[in-house]
Amino acid sequence: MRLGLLVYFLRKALGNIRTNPFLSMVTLSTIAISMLILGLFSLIYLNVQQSLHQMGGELQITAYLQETVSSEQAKVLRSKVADWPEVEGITYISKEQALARFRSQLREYAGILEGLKENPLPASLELTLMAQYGRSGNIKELSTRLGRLPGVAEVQYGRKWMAKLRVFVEVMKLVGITVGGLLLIATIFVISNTIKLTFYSRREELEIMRLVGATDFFIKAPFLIEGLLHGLGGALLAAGGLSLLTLFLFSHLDLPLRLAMMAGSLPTGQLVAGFLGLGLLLGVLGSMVSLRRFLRP
Amino acid sequence: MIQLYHVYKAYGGDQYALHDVTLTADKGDFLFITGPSGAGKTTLLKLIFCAEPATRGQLLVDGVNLQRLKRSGIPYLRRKIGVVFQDFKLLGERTVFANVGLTLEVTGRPRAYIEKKVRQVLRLVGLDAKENHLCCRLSGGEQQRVAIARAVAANPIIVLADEPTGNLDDEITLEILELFREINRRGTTVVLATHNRELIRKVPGAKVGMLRQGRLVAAGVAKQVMAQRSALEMSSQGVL
Ligand SMILES: Nc1ncnc2c1ncn2[C@@H]1O[C@H](COP(=O)(O)OP(=O)(O)O)[C@@H](O)[C@H]1O
Ligand SMILES: [Mg+2]
Repeated sequence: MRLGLLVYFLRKALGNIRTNPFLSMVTLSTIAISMLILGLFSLIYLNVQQSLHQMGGELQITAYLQETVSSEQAKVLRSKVADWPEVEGITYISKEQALARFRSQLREYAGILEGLKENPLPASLELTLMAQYGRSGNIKELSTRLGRLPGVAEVQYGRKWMAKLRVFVEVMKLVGITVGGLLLIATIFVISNTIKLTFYSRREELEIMRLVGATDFFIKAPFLIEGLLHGLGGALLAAGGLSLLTLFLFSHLDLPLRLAMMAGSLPTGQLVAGFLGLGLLLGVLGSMVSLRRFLRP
Repeated sequence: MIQLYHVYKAYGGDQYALHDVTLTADKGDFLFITGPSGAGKTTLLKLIFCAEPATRGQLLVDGVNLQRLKRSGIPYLRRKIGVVFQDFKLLGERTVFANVGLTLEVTGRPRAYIEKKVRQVLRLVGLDAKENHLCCRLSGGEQQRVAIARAVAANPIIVLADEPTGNLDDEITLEILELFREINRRGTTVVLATHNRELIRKVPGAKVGMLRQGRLVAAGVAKQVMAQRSALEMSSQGVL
């Protein structure tokens, strides 16, 4: 297509927008808000998903030892378990080490331990598993085996909590897809409705253009571009809004540490590119819907 | 240039707006379509520029068979035909220049060409001083000229005009007719629908097709057709 013609279509599209700026504002904000909501959902989803993925890689099991087990006995136990094929690494944490770790990790709660005469924390063996044994069936079986060993009081692994989180993530995804899908459909409707209104306000001119030999494409093109501009504009607004919102959230809210850390490594550039792509698509779809319906002779 | 063979047009229902019309206009012809109100003049013009499809029969315009023309081909046919609508169809809130230029814009002509060409046709119709006036501020005669300028701007090979002198006083009617004759002299085929017989008498060499209730009741050279009709009407009055 000739550049001059493209400029002509663009000018016409801007003219359309200028004839009803209020309508354009409403359209832009609707698109922006829909995409913002969608973006928030995906951001949270991606965050949790990523955290889960990283935690899944650690595959830790902790076996707490009975009070009666001496450090020599514990070391025998450690070398025995270390020979199991599933075990990648194993560390013995004595009662003293456990207390020290507790003190350094949870500084503000350290006070509750001061009054105690005895160290209430048990000694433990911390196991890291080989990645190929990371399935929950393996872990369950292994922890029962661990639990039966003499001297082991209790076995803990992060699986229960992670399974819950995983279900939450799946539910989130479902809700996100449903709400997002509905919002996107609404957005297409809003864009197409805007175009319909501009179309009606210009129908006399369009009718004359048709009578003097304008092709369908020539009549449609400015409306397509109008829809496209709305889609892109809304996407830019949403991207800006989302950036501000995440900045605010991660600096002001006391989210779990891990989630907050994840935010830095999120593909924000990709998200913005996705927004723009989606905006373009929505714009084109929205205008095509209305043009198909309203450009029939 | 324009050929109609046994053309019928019904707008739905069994009433025909055109009934078995066979009519030809050659290149460079000046053809009047005449007849009383409701005879089918406007309908005939609409068929020629594809604003309405014929119900039956064959229509050829510049060698194109309209019955076989696809929807996508209609714009290109219309670019060969300039139409002066009975109600002008001007955009009142736009300038004279914008209205005339629209015809050229839709063909994707560059700006410079449009400016040159619009000034040229406005000079032809004598409106070059008013190119920046809004159309709604113009008199009826001036609006008619704008409509004519728009119809000829894209150098059409055919110009159709529907009652172009309908609401104008005698003096301006003659000026407008003279414009169409000038356009015709430059080689454009002109088809002019009118119920005004005085107009036809001013162009004795033109062709005439006379419609009555959708049927072609007389066709031929203006001078002869008008003489025949006068004689016929006089004799029928004599009988009464
Ligand atoms: N769009 C239409 N729908 C239905 N009937 C129509 C339409 N246009 C014209 N007609 C009918 O067709 C006949 C011819 O009309 P028209 O071509 O406008 O005549 P003229 O231009 O000679 O006055 C009239 O009876 C008119 O009522
Ligand atoms: Mg008429």
